[in-house]
Parts: sequence; C-alpha cells; structure tokens
Amino acid sequence: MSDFDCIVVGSGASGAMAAQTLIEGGARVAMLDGGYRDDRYAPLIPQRTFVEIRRTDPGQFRYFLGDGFESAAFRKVGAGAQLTPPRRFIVERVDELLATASRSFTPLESLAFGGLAAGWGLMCGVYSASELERASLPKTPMHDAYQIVADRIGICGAGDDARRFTVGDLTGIQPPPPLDPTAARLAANYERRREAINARGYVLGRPALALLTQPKDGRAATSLRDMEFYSDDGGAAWRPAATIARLAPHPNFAYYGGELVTRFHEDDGGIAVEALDVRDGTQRRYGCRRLVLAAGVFGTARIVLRSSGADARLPLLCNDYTYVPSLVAGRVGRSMPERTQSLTQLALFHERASADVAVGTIFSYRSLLLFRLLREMPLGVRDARILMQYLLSGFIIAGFDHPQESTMGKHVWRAPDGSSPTGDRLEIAYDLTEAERRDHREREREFAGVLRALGAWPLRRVHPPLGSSLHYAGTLPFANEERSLTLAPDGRLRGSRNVYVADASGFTFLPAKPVTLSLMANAHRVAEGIARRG
Amino acid sequence: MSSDEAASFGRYLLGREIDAASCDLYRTAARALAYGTADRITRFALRNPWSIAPLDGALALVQPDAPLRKKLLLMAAILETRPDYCDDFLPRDRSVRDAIAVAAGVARAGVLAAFGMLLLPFVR
Repeated sequence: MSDFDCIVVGSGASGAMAAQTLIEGGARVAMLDGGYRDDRYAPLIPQRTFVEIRRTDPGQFRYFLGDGFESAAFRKVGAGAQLTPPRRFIVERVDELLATASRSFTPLESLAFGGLAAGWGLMCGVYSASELERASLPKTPMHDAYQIVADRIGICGAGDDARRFTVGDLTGIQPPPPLDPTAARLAANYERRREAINARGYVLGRPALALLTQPKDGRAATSLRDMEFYSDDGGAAWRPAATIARLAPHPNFAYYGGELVTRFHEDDGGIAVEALDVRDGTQRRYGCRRLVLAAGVFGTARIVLRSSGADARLPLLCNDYTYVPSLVAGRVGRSMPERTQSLTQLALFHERASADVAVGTIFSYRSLLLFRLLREMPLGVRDARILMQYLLSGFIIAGFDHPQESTMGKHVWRAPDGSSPTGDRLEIAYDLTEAERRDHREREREFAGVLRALGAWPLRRVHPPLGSSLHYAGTLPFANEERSLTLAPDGRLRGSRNVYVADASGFTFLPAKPVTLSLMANAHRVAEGIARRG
Repeated sequence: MSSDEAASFGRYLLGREIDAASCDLYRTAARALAYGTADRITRFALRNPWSIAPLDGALALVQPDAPLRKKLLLMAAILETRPDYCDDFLPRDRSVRDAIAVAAGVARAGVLAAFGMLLLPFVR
C-alpha cells in the first residue's frame, strides 16, 4: 500500500512548503490536489502596464469583466468579491464539491492549483514570541522556519517603525517597491505626527510582501505594471505554483491534479488515501507511509471528520475584518503614476498588548476599475463616474483585521447531505460574542481616528460577512494532552500514528497579522520533523 | 431589448455618441447577464431620454439594484474597458475650474435626483 513515503494533500502555501521540505529531506512525495487553473484568461493578458493595457487592448473586457461579464453584474460585497476573472479559478466548482451551510459565516475555500494562495495579497508578518505562544507554536523552530521560508519565497520590506510586526529580525529582505504618491503623502503625514500617533498605540510602516524587487533564483523583479489583481507579474509575486513548478522535475515528486481527497484509513500496512476524481466522479486510492494534510482549515476538517467518523464540533478561528474606504483630500484631481503596484502600500499596527495586535492595511484604488465603485455611490451612474474619476487618485481602501482567540459560539461540524458528491456538508456556526463585537467596533473607531490623523478621511465603515478575511485556523488545535481531534506539538493528528496536519488547523490563536507566512513556516516545521524521523 | 438602448445609455453616461462596437458588446453582455427584458421604468427612460438622469439619480437612493441602474452600470463597465473611452475613467491632473465643475455636477445631481423622486411614482 505504501506507494509513496508521503502524500501531501493540497497545493496551497502550506502544501507547497511541506512538499519542498520533504523532498529536500529525501522523501518520495506525491501531492494530491483539486488542481483547477486559469487557462482562459492568463494567455490574454499583455505584459504591459495597467494604463497601457487600458489605452491599447480592445480585448481587455474579457479579463477585466469576464467572458460572461460576471464582474460587471450587480452583487453585494461578500467573501471573494475581490476575485477578478483571471482569479475566479480559485473558487471553481467549490460550491458544488465542498458543500457548506451557515447562516452567519461566509468562508472561501479553494480546489485550485495553489489554493487560496493563488490569489493571496502577498502580505507577510512574523508572529511575536507571545503570539507564537498563544497560537501554541514553538518559538525557536518557528523562528528558524520563518527564515527558511523567507529565503525560499523572497520577501521585500523596510527597516521602519513597523519592522518588528512585519519581518522582525529576518535577514535577506529586499527593499520595498516605491510608494505611490497617495501613500507617500500618508507616510509623510505620519513622519510629522509620529509622536501623537504612536501615543495612540499605532505605528505605520511598509508592509512585508512576498514580492521580488530584485531578481532572485531565476525570478525577475516586479515590473510595477499595477496588474497584481490579474496576473503574477512574471513570477515576481510568489505563488505556490512557483514552488511546485520547481519541484515538478524532481524524480521524488509526483503531482496528481483533479483529485479531491475525501478520507484516509490507517493500519499496520500504512495509510490508504481515498480521493474523488473531480473530472468523472470515480474513486481512487493511493497508499503512503505518512500523510500530510494541508488542504486548508475547512478541507482538512472535512477529511479528518469523515475519516474518524466522529460526530464532533470543532472550534474555529477567523479574523473579523472591516474595511474603510477613505479619501486623501490633498491627492484628489491628480494623475497617478503608470508604474506602481496594487498591493498593500502601507500597514498600520495597533498594539494593546504583546499578543493583541490589530492590523490595518492601506491600498490605493485604481486597477480594480471605477465601475465597481459606481454601484456603491448614492448618485446617478453618470454623475458618480464624473465624481469618482476626480476623486480616484485620492481614494484608498483601508482594511482592518482583529486578532481572534478561541471563544464560545464558533464551531464547525459535519452533517449528512445527499445532494453533495461527498454525501455530506460542513456546517458552520460563527458568532462574535457581544464583548468581542463591542471591542472590535471601539477599536475600529480608533483606527478611523488614526486614518484622519494621517490625512485620510474615512467615508464609511463596511463590515463584510464573517469569514471574508479568508484567515481561518484552530479546528484541530495543538494540545499537550492526549485528546482526540487535536494535534500533537509536532503536527501529528492525535489518535493516528502517521497522519500530520501542516496548515493552520492547529493554531490555538489567530493573530491579526497575515497568516500565510506563519502557516508556511509551520508547514516547513512539521515536514522537517517528519523528514528527520525518516 | 430596444435597438437603441445601448446608444441611449452610452450617450447619457459620456455625453456623446459611442461607437457601434461598444453597443454590440453591451447587447452581448446584457444577454449574458439576462438583463434583456426592460421593466416599466427602463421603457419610460428609453422613450424619454431626458428622464434617464433623474430616474437614475432617484433609484440610486431608493433602489440601487433597479433594472435601469443595473443596465447603466453594465454600460459603464463596458465603456470603461474600451480603449476609446478610458480617458473618461482614468484619473488625470485637473484644474481648479474642473473641481468647481465637479462640485456643480454633484449639486445638479442632487436636484435631478429630487426631481426623479417626484417622477418615480408616476413612472412606476
């Protein structure tokens, strides 16, 4: 039954890192993955700047609006609203194959090659020692793992006030890309009012981004085309696909796309992994000595609950998220530079205690197109266009993520569902407590006040549905005691001998900092332990 | 769908005639999104092009997802992705006179929306 030393389930950020570490450790690795890709839009997108494309490409409506014009359809803001047509493959067939029901929570899952990280915003943040402790992640191994992951993927950042929240003491960090003029204005205001803003518990700085500003390992530096919502800038933006492409020629690596892993069975002979072929619905079986689940928090929960047969409620963590469209008055009625990028320009950190840091992110709005804003305006479309074209150069979107600890009323469980190809669905109950709600709203008011101090005027506060932050964790928490549906500190699923979980399922606390770098570091740590044990 | 629906909406949004290719694209998109059938308000607006602005302004306040608004937003999205009209959407350096014109336009939009609110019950 042991066809492979290890099977890694999922090709997202965790799966890619775990696979690389296992291969480097000498293991024969198979990766099972849904594997959906964008073959339709990527070849259509010219290697030109956003402005040049707008001025010259008569076929741009296909990748800006979609072949079915779906992006131009009127709909409410929800999870995944920011996915442009070239990124829609990330959620391809998810509704059909990953049945979910919830009245209070809107998760985003993926069966794509690269998982949710195929559209990740590239922002990185190293957890502090106290955040690692609360998340039940070991400090020294994670510290080492952060550096290894940073060396693999390439991170840019700055040695500014925010450094301890972004790259910490990581070395080899590339310089940040240039600020656009709107963000530069906010940064200049921060310099002038630093003392007052710091006194409110906030610091501002450049975010750490998994974006190359200098060539690295055969990848080119960003060309600042401002097309990050649509393409990966010739490999300057790190995506899991880049790592898997490097692993592909290795004789010890095999990738199987089109596979939805449904369950596993472990006995003395090894582990049998059952998968559903998403193309024709047939069942397949793979064998391995060790199984590494990196299917994302919900994907891993489905597989573990099915395999264990447990009728249990698992805890769930997700960052509550708010965004605040704001206006930098001094920048309205101006042109914008042709060479820029659409990713986070600036990051704000609000530290109340060492493990209680909320994170604000500031984006300049342009490449998502004006028409998305027009539908939010209480004006006729013609007048909204004229006004927003004038305001656009001073228009920013400020996002705000809250840290989340495990509290009551946040659970996920499996329920039978005859209409689902897997015969079940995931039910999610997720409600903030009244105290959390109050605390978050109060913190958001403070955040809006700091935006004003920086010279950005908040226009409104938008609370998208819970789950929209796309940061999930905590379903199979790390625990020191022997308890079913928990993880041992080395990532092993309790009750199993050789099943490991390498995504964020084990985190017992979810800091507000972007989770992707930490889940990659954890995946490396778990995989390194497996490789070491042989 | 009226044959000149696209042309009327384009004219309203940009204040000038739009090209045939953009009209064709709008018709394709409206079919793809099943926006084909016109409701009473849209039919009235198309028969009386002077009423598009007040009705659009009023609906923005009371029914942002009204069929007329959906169609206008679709046309705005189409025009935004046409190279010929990108300068009507991309930010550019503006003068103080432009700022005054924009402010006057917003004030006019308020007046039009108020008129649209009066008109809406009759059209419905």
